Amino acid sequence: MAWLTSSCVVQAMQSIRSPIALRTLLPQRSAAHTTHTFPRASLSTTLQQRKNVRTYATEVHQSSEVPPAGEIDFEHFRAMPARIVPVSPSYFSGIPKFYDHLLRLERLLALNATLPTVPSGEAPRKAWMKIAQFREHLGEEVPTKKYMGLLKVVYRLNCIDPSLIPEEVNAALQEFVRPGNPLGEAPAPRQLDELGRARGKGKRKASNAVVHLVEGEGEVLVNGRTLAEVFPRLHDRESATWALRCSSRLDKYNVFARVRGGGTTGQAEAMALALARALLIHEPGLKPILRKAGVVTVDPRRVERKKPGHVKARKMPAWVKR
Amino acid sequence: MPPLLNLFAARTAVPALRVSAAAPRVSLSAAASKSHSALSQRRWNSSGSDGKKESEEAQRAATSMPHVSEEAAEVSRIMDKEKRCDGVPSTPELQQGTMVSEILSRDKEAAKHAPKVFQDQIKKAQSGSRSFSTSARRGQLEEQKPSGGDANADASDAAQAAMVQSMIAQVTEQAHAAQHELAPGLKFPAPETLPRTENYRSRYEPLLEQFTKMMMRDGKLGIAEKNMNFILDHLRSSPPPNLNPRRPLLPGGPPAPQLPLNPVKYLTLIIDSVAPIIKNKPMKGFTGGGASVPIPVPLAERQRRRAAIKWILDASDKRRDTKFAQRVANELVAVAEGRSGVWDRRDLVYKVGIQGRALVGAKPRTRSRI
Amino acid sequence: MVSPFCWGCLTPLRQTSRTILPSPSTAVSRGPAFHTSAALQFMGRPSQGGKKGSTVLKFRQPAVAAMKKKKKFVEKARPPPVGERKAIRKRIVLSNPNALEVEGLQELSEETMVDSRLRGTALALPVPMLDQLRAVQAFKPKQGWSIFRRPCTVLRRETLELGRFFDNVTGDVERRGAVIKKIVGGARKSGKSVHLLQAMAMGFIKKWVVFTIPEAQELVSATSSYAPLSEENPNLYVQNEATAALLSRTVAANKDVLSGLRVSQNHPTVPAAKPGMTLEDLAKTGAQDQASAWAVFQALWKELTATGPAPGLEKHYTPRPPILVTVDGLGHWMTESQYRNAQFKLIHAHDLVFVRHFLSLLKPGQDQPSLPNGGALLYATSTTNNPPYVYTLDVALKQVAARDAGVEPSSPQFPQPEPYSKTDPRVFEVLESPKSKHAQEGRLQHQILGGVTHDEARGFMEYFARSGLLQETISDGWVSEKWTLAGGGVIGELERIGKRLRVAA
Repeated sequence: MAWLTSSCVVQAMQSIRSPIALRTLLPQRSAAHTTHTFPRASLSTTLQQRKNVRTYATEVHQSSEVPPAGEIDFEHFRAMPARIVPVSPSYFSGIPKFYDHLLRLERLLALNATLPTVPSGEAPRKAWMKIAQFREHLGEEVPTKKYMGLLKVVYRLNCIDPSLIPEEVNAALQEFVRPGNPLGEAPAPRQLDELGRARGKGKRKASNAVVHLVEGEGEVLVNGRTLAEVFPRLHDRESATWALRCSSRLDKYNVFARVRGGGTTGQAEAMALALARALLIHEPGLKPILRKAGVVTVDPRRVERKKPGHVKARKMPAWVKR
Repeated sequence: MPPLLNLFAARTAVPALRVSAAAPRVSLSAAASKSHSALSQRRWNSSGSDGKKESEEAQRAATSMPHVSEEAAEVSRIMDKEKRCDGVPSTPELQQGTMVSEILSRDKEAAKHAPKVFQDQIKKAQSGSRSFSTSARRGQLEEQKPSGGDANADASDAAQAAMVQSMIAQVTEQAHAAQHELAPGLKFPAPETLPRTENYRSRYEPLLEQFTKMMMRDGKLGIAEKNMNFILDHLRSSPPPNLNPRRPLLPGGPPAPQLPLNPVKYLTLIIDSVAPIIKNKPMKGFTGGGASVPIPVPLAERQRRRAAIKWILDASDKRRDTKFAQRVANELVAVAEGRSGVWDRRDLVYKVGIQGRALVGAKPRTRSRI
Repeated sequence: MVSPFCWGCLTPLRQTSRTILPSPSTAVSRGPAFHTSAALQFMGRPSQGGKKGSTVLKFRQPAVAAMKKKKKFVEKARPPPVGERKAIRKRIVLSNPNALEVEGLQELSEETMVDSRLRGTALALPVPMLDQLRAVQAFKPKQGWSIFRRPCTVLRRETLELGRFFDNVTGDVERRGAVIKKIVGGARKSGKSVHLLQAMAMGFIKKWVVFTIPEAQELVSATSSYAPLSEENPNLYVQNEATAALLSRTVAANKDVLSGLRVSQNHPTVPAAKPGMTLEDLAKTGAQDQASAWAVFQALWKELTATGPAPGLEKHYTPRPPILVTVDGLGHWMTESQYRNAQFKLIHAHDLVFVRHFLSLLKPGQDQPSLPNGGALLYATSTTNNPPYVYTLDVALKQVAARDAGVEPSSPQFPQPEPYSKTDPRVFEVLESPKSKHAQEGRLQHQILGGVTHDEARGFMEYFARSGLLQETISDGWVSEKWTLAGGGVIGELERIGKRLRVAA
């Protein structure tokens, strides 16, 4: 895999790179440009010798509908190439365009490696292209692992101090940003609707809850029933209204909730999360308190799935001798 | 951050207010109401009007800390430059000395022999007439008095005095309101801090939660909670324990007759009193032949409680009461009264621990060391 | 020392020996000759399950003896004696000596029960009355009496209304003889049974005669004796045991009132009822002699509802007091009972004369009100103890409420059962009560108890705090928070919240 190390490829290619670049359009699917170059020293002799020699690679095949490569117009050749070398060093890899990008980025990185960087958390947030998008963009089946490697270089370049980052690098990075840049602007803060209601959603275990919160005097309806009817356990009732309780607002709002799925604990705690989120729409200043009370923290735990060969999620069948 | 006003800051704020409000001296009530409206407008103005800025600056000058560099210079002056010869930082008192009058006021004997000038000064101070005014406001009014000189001037003085007074009242009120003013993003006053029990996940007393969860079987927490409530109600309604002097509860708790009124404290006291402070861990390698020797190991609070709860639950299984919660509750009361076998169990642990204490901290011998 | 024999020399020797040897009769060689190891193992196995000869291995049966699981020996105490569990379950504790004595606690009395200024405060039940209330089984085990110093009830709006009615019927001349008929409903723990208890307490204060059926289920659950009423009515059944129990309850609770009243009617069916004997003695005869219990009860009822003496017995007659009848758990009376008739069919609850008597009181009386001397009928439904099928009762109660609100039965707004639902026509029939001809007799109402108000909740919570059970600062915000947690002030839930402990105060 030594050829993957782009720097040695670059060095190798630079040694054979020539100032004369004669281009011809090859009707390839990827529309890549190949350049026919040859060492200038042997030009005069080889040109004479091979004037009338046709190389089969450049022959026009009348029989095939779509020619694999366009005809090289030898009339306009100032010199006959000794052999035709592609302009891209990654021409013979399976995913040449990908390696072109990678090489370009690595060159940029090598050039700008000495620039000061910021911690990755403070670097400008950008949404990079996802693998599927990138494949579609290039038209090549890029392996996931390779793309991840490329993204690592992108991350590193993005960490260059934003005030010092060269325009070239910025432009290169911009090519990898997902179209539309979803992270570019923060979502607008949610507002009360025209009737003064705030709506919040929450999930916990297998339950989900939607809460509508209006200013009022402490009435709570869950699925159209009172709190005591829905949650016979006092603990659950407290959980469900904890956001209002810890900020001593239980008598200042009316709650209308809809909970679905799961058991009572999950429903109560899903409602707690939904209620806290709805309350934050009314009063964003409560966030530190609610955070401290633990009601805005999402509990992402779910039941672990059962696996084949196991009795439960992790339990294995008992060992039996034969 | 709302402008924090207090009475000290008000003194500096008043002149600024007077400049704007004193000009139309029409009548007392009008002036007062005008100043009131101006003030109230200023108070709720969110666009940062000039008046507010002015008063804010005045307050900042009065209340804010000095610049960082000034403060650093001050600190270094105190800490370094004004050191005494022995290198201890000096205090202003050491540096500048105590006021003589202060010494004289403490020491009557010295006062008798003080110079005549000092004695005269002391007498003057005792007579009550100060050579300087302590009230800036009164001085200002007196200054303005001769300028008018008529009844008209008198009336205007009275009006001005009333106005200044109303201003001060306003400013105090404002300062008062500023403390209760809501932070942005709040509709109602909110608590500043939350106690630990106001967290959603730790709303119960740690011991209650530990006990409840140890009583839980098959993951049925609701049933365990019901049992816990029964136990607490039993502790609340059973007669106060007759404490056994041989098995005392931990000191520092309420006296026995008051225990049932606070069942959670009662329960905590019982558990903590019977909780062992060590555990005997059998360890190999101290004696030959691979025999294990119990070595005492200290326990943390939660571990101690766990051991005690486990013993109590085990002991309650042997009781012959109708239901589980009843058995546990009776066992708890038995522990409080020193009748329970849990105490013997703890004594046994301590006995074994005392036997093995010589080996605490020793390292077991490894077999193949040549 | 090289052996003189080589392997080649020995090989034919071995072969010959094998063929020459006679086949031994041991078990080993009975196995297949080509492979002996399995046979060895096979023979070495102990016989399974003690059966000799059944040594056939099952498919994939492990060839080693299975390890026996050690049985854990758990030392367990013997179970409690028979009946103790039930006794503890049914035990009613009314006092907790550890709780603090509440200062300035007022008792329920003639003055306090109509005083609207006291609304929302807890009133203690008078100590002498506790025996009467216990006799009529007014207290239930899970009503939370056991943590307070003495039993108290909160004076809520409904209680005050009831108190005013009791006051009017006894005191006001115009309202004398008034009757209210209510079916008390409401959410779980909303205080229905305690409402009945308050009514009983007021009845005792006002010297009414109180009849109670604390558990309607006991009359239909086939746990007491029953018999056909008579030859003429083979489809009606009498429950003498239950009737005797009712009489003894009534005698124990209303001793003072009944001992002041004398028999002043003719009772041809009851030979024991002699003119001039006190009603207490009359009821006692029924309580002691179960065979005559139903007849004695009828005689007693006739005496109590009499508006005047029979001819010739004027000297024994004194005006009769109003009657309070309470029934708890009405749902059980609105379906088939667990009793069986001679054809082994379930008997409908309305065919039990005891039940039928008390249900017939809900209908307006024909030539005089059903309770001519005034009184109250309070029948409470239950939300937790119901027979499996009470849909009919739900609809019937809605109809009662609609009729009371003035909706005509012919109008489309009148609640009707679902078209294809299974309903019981007898239930509709018994709860259908048109307006009475008598002005004093009220119409059947469905009273729904909801949550208490914030003020009442605050009074209740203050009572907890003053009893030393609740160690928190009670503020309006705190109370309204608990009010919400109690599902909108449901009083039973408030009680649970009040005694709950989360942290050491």
